[in-house]
Amino acid sequence: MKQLLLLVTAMGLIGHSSLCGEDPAAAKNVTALNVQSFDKVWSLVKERHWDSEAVGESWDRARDELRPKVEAAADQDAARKVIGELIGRLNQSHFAVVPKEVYEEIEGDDDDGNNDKDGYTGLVIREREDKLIITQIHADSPAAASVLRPGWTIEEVGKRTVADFLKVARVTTKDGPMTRQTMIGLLGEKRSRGSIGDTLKLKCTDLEGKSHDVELTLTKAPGTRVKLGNFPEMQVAITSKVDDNGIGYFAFSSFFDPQRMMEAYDELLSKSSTGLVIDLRGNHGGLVILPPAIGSRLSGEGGKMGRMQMKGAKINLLMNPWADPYEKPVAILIDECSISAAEILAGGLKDLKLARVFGSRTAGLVLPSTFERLPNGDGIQYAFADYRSASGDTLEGIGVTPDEEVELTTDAYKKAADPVFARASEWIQSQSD
Amino acid sequence: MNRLLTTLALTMMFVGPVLAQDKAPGSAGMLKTAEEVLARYVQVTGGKDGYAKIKSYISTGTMEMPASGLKAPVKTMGTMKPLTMYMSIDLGQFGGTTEQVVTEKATWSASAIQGTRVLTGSEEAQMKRAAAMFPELTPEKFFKEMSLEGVEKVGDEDCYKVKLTPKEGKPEMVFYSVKSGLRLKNVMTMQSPQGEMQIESQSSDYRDVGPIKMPFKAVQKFPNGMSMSMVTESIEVNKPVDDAKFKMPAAVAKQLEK
Repeated sequence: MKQLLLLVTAMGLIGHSSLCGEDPAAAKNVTALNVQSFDKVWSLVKERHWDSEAVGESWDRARDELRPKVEAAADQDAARKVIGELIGRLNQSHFAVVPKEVYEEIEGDDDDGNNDKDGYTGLVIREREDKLIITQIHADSPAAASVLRPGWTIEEVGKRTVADFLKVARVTTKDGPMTRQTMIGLLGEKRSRGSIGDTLKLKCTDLEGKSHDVELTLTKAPGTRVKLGNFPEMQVAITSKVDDNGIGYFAFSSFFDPQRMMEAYDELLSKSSTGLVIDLRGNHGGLVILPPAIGSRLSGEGGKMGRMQMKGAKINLLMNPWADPYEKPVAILIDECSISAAEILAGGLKDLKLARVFGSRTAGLVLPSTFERLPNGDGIQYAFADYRSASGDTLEGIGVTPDEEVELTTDAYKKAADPVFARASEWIQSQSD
Repeated sequence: MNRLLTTLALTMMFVGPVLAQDKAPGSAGMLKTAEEVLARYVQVTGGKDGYAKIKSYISTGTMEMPASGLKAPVKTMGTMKPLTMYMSIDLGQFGGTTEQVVTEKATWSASAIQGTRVLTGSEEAQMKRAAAMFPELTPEKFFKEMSLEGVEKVGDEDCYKVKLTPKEGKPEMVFYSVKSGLRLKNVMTMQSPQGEMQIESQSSDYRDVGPIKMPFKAVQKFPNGMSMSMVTESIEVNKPVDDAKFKMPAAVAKQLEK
């Protein structure tokens, strides 16, 4: 949901309030709803923020100062700016007003009213030096069956040019915590998915500089739909395999299917005789119990992966000591779309020196946050906990820096279809020699 | 109007302490010490003779966390001598089965997802108090100090507020109904290597279980506003427990060796 909201925001779908020019009674009602929304935002943050100082006297003063401005706001857009100013006083990420138009766009996301987004192309798109690059192609996908290959640059996706992507990303990341590269990665995911049977036209350039027009028909994305409690249903794809060199490869789209994930992981550890690669590229996080569980299998001593500071409680993310830990080299792959729990796992294992990290810096979007709708139809995103790594550092806004940065250049793709995996694999083999 | 409210507020402030004075510990009809409050709890829930008849128990119930939509079956069993307890929570897709075990030799938690951990220090002490089920029966075994702090409301009910300081760990406040003598609430700091968290737990729905009374519902509130309920569906006493549940896993033995 969070990702979708950000994406829709990014695609420039937010319009201005349509309330201008309405009759006085309606305007009065709008004002009341805006004031209620302001009060709700103020109270939510006051009640749930982990740092009592941040929401102490200064937060009370902010309410006293800004509430009259909401009461005087001419329309919802003006009220939104005041609420934005209120949460801006915290000077922290993961606090944002989500305009109601974004929700309306999400609710009616498809032209045909079909919100089924199970279709995918298998493309992974990232930005490097103002170019869109196909960095990976999933096996058995429409993209894999086409002429497309990793390393090709994309000139157009559907009706959108590279310049459109860059412009949207530049505007939407101007004041927020998200980097331009992360936003473009997410936009790429959004644009390469859709309903099964949809087509996507791409204009690309191959590694030799030759242009190609490609049309892909979306097929069902791999994975299983998982519903846990009140969480929204999610499609979770798990890849677990061992190559001829005895190097295990473990990738999962999110940390959201604990039992199936850990069964696959445990089985893979028993078969990976040379080493293990955990691929967290494009992983958007999920349940926070899973990073310590994954890490625990790698240590006979256990350890602390980090700490969550919530209101009234500090929770250590504890790795239990494993009786028979996996002792072969472990490599973690990351990129700018490794988010949240993926960053906690990569950062935690790096801190504890249980894995070597390859790729590019993660998103730096670690604070656990949630969304709630407001009386005026807008939404509020707010963080309810802080996260610190085992070394006490914050990852928020900074991300995890890899031990080895792997540049995604044309030359690199001429040598290997997946330069990041290739480098990790090379390192694992060098450790076992 | 403002003056009337101010006067009313002042009257309330004055009346408050007088009412409280009527229910102060040690006043007519009120218990004077923590020891008396605990002894009364034992008495109203079955008496020492009743408790002496309990050798073992097996209970089933359901844990629920409304905020996350989690609902999990819980099974608990244990013996009073030696003091043992086995509890399993089946979290299903959230994470399989989690077990917590207290034996004479060690206390541990084990989960298919998170692995096995030996519990020590105040965390183990807390588990043993939970295993005892009725620490009021032999408070000297578990607490180094106890004091009656006053009378406070739990809901609409006046309760004795008793401060119990365990031999290991932070003090907990336990609230016993003045009227019924039953334990209605406790506020404790959960301590573990995962951190500290203050938890308020309210007990209700006391029912007869053989010769004693036990609460069949407990609701725990966490500092971040979330809550968890535990509803007991059945408790059987003096039935044989499955010894296999208390067998120490190799992973625990290995950790103990270290």
